[in-house]
Amino acid sequence: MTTSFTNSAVPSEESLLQFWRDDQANQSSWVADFRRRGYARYSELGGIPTPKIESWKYTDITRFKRALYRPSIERGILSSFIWPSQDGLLTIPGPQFVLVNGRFAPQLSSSAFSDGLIVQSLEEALRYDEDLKVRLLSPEKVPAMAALNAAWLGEGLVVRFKANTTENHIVHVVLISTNTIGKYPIVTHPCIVVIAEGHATLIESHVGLSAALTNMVSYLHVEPNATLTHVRAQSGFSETHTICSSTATVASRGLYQCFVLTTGLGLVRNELAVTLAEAEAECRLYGAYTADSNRHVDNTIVMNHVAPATTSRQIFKGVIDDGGRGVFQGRISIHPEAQKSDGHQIHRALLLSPGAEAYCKPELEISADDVKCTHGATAGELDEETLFYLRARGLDAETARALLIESFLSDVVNGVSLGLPRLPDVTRAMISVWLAGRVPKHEDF
Amino acid sequence: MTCIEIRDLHACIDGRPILKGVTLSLSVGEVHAIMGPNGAGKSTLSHLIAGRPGYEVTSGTIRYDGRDLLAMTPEERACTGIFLAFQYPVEIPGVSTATFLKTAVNAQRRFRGKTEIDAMQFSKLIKEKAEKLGMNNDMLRRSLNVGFSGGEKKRNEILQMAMLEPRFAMLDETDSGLDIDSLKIVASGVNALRSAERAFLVITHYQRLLEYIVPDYVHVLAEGRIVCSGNKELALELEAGGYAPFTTHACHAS
Amino acid sequence: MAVDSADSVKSVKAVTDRKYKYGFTTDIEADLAPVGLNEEIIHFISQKKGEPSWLLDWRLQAYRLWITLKEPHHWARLTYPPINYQGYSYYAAPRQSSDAPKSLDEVDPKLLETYNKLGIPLEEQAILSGVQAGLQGNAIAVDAVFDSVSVATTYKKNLDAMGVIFCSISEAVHQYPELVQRYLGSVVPYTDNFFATLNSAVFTDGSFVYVPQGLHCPMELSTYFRINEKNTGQFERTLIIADKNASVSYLEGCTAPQRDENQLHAAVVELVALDGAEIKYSTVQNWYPGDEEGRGGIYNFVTKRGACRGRNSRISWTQVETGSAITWKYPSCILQGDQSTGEFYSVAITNHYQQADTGTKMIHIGRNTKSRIISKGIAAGHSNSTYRGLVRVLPRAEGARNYTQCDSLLIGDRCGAHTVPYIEARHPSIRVEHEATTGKISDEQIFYCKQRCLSHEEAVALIVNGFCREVMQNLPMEFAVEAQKLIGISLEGSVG
Repeated sequence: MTTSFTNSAVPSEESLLQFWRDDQANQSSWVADFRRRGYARYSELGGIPTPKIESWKYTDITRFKRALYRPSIERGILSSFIWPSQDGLLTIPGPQFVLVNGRFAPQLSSSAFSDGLIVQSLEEALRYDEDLKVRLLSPEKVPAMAALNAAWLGEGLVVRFKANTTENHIVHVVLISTNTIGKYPIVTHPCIVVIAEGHATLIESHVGLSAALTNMVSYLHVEPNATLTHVRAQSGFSETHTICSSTATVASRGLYQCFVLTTGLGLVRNELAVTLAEAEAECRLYGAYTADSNRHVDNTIVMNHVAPATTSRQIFKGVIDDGGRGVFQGRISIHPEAQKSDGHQIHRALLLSPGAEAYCKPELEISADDVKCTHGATAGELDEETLFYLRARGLDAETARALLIESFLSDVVNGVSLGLPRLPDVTRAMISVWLAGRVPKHEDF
Repeated sequence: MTCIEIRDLHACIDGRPILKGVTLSLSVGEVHAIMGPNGAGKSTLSHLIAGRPGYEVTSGTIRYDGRDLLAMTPEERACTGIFLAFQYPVEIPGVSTATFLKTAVNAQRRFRGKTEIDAMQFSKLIKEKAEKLGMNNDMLRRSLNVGFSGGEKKRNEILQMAMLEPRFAMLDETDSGLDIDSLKIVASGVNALRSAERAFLVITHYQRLLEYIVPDYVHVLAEGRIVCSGNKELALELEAGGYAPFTTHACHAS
Repeated sequence: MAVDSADSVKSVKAVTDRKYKYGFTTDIEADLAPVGLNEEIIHFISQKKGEPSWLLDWRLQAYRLWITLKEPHHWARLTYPPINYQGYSYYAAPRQSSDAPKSLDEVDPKLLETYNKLGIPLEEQAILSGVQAGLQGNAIAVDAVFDSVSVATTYKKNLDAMGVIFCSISEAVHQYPELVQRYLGSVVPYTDNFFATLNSAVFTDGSFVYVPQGLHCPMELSTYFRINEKNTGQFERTLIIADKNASVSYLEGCTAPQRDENQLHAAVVELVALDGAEIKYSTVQNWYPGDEEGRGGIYNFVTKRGACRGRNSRISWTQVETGSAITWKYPSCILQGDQSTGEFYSVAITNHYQQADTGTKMIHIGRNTKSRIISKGIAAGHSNSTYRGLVRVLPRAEGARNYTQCDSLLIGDRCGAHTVPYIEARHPSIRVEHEATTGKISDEQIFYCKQRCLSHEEAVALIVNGFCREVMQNLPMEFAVEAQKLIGISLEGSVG
């Protein structure tokens, strides 16, 4: 299956240049310039990151190199999307905005929603919203994959939660990867911008239905005193791969809390750079992921404390089975101005069988002294003693293991609701589906 | 003989006035209790006397055996015999109680021009005093206050007081968080140290402690000033009637 | 509160940058190689030492590889001006008779005086009378290395009688060539890294230790290094082999004179522990750290690795690092033998403009291997201290266990402490635990200590002592004493 990514009939750079030429509406404009700068930056950094680059040491994406130049004009067509009826994440009430292969699909999205919300496709927003341009990071400052996304800038979504609302607005953004036409996987570079001026909840679902590669960039801005609650759920086909480079900026007394739940897809890299930019900004991150059978889940976080009295908490847990690889790189960086800040981070990996691999690099970079920072990382297996105990009480091996896995994940599964009462149930359900779908590797110990 | 003399003391924290004219005199051989509502300034007073940074004295004086206390550094005050039993003693990981005390005792001795204490002598002394407080060897070897229960921490403070033999000892809400048994042990430890050479200032919120450590004088500190003074009966009155009657300068001194 | 921080900084400064006590030089004629590095110099060194051709060939292979390599500093958090390798002399021996001294009588008295100043016991009499007694009154056998040459080895006769070989590497090459040839470069091959390659080409001396089967070496073996000559690099090479069920404790201590030009130190230490053997390697390092402005100081790039080849073998690294302008070292353990154990205990203190990027690597290969890492970093001034550690569990390393604790203490607000651990788990039946904390000495702790009669300096010393306690407990007694002097704290006696 991976051969479909490496075989590319289209020459690399030319398709990008063609895309620029073909995009009549954006010929000599801010967008065109942005794209050029993006590509210049990508080239300056040496193109696609290889494992020789420290941040990509444990995640090798070089096999996608040629595929990344595929023009995004090749589209999958999705005429309808059947919303799940059972108790899934998508049944939580709230307007839904769907992107199919990176492009906003209004026909599948809600058209009526509250005044407190402004939602536009990225193309539309780029034409009319000057403020938006300020929100995007200049291409010179971003790493390679985000720079490449800039070179393809054009599609995506802008969601603005306005202030002066006391109610919590919940919005779904669903990214569907599907290919009903060509034989090559579809590669897209969507860009999503979210601005929260009040209480906001964003539920971002990545649904993989066919071989595809998404190189996504998202910007999350939390304005002073605002709260952005963000749930990202990634599930689906094991040949749908996604690289998400997200940047979150939190202003004074703002709170960004995010839960990343990855139980499907193939190669997933969630790269998140959070900047606690002003005093008393706060960020809480939770993650639960599973990896098996050639699935590779990489969560790379940089938590920048650049202002005083900022707080961060991270807890990530991974369950990894044969053939799976879990990677966690979490840097807490406290700058000299960030006195009286607190940063804490925990990562735990549970390895279920030989062939499971976990790589963890929790970094602390501290340049202020009146701070409290800790991190912890563990990797290990299910406790044999406890397993035996459960079996001695009549549970079969699989049930016993499932119980212990649930117990292992408990604080991120049961403990994380973020104001959405159904979230723990949904999380539990997604993990059970994964557990049930695995082929049990070894029966006895 | 007057040991501590506080005259019209005014003090602020971060610009906020806390003590608004405290006048108080203590002599050796006496046990004074200070009671009062929360926020009155009781802890502030004791911490200020101990020399904690962050307090600004705007006017008034404190004399300690005739010396200007406010001109002395915290360690000078400690070495000359001022002791504060903290309400929330800090932890110092990796440093055992025994090591800590030995270092403190020797620092005090050096200040007073004496030679350092002999290891054997110290060992014997500390074990004796620890035993009286119901503390075993194990507690002496553990890192200072790390993992100690509330009662253990308070007992540790009293042990330190016993080893340093202060001239003026302040107990800052030593009874907070203690059950009756711990309270009795702590009280007996304090009572064992009562002497004609020593003055005590017992700060407490509740009258209960004063049944075990019977004071010679009781003062009520409210809104930054001592609004009333009396003997131990005053404490019982407070118990019955609360602080409200005292916050309007009314005083039923007996 | 700001006042207290400044006080803390002052007291650490007072302690760690008191006039560098060892900043003096000895006036001795030196036998110097011409400045620069090329194949002629390699020949020069090898010939000066009368080495056999297999060793000269090995050096040349290393040199030829080295000239194709680039310095690897792009990933470590270190910045320093480029080192001019051609600006150093790679061989400096104090001029004396070309045969190594057989006894102390033959050693130049000026050299002996230097070692006396350093407080190093080269006088066997003095040792026997207990002046510098080692653990439990045992003596310490000392091999002194002055610039590049091993000057004297005490206690040879006693050790010879037990079958312990403790001599300079140069001597070992002549006397025990099969042993050296079998093990040299087997733990750190000359291809390993830039500095190891350089060292393999130009190493001049170091210690060689072999402890025979079943012997627990009763005395601690110790080596002192000193870099004296201007513009020389010190490239010592140490090789310690503990045969089956043998054990040995080795102490490495270092000092260097004050020089304005930075001096280079690129050492290689290889340890081999066979079945049931145990090697304990302790270092108290006090290289000249550079002055308050960050000028001068030693560049310390060291490759230290222990191979736990045998079942149930154990290698333990303990280090207290306070000197050196730039430190780049990762004492490591390769846990090949089943049930082998690797340990790393470290206290690293940086001040002024020092930079340290140090840590350890534990590679779990065999079954049921264990590793334990306790690292304490204290940073003050404008310094930067980074802990970089790797715990790698290979696919066949079932039952591997690791526990890591890295704590950093910051004193003052212009320094940085960083922790970069890599955990690579490729077998499920393992338990790897890593914890790290960073903080400062709290004002509450300082005030509490002051209220108990301690001065500010004493309070800082006490708290730092407590912070480092777990590591200090692993140092052999006499080293602990030297370490405490270095860090300015007093260790406790026990409450018996």
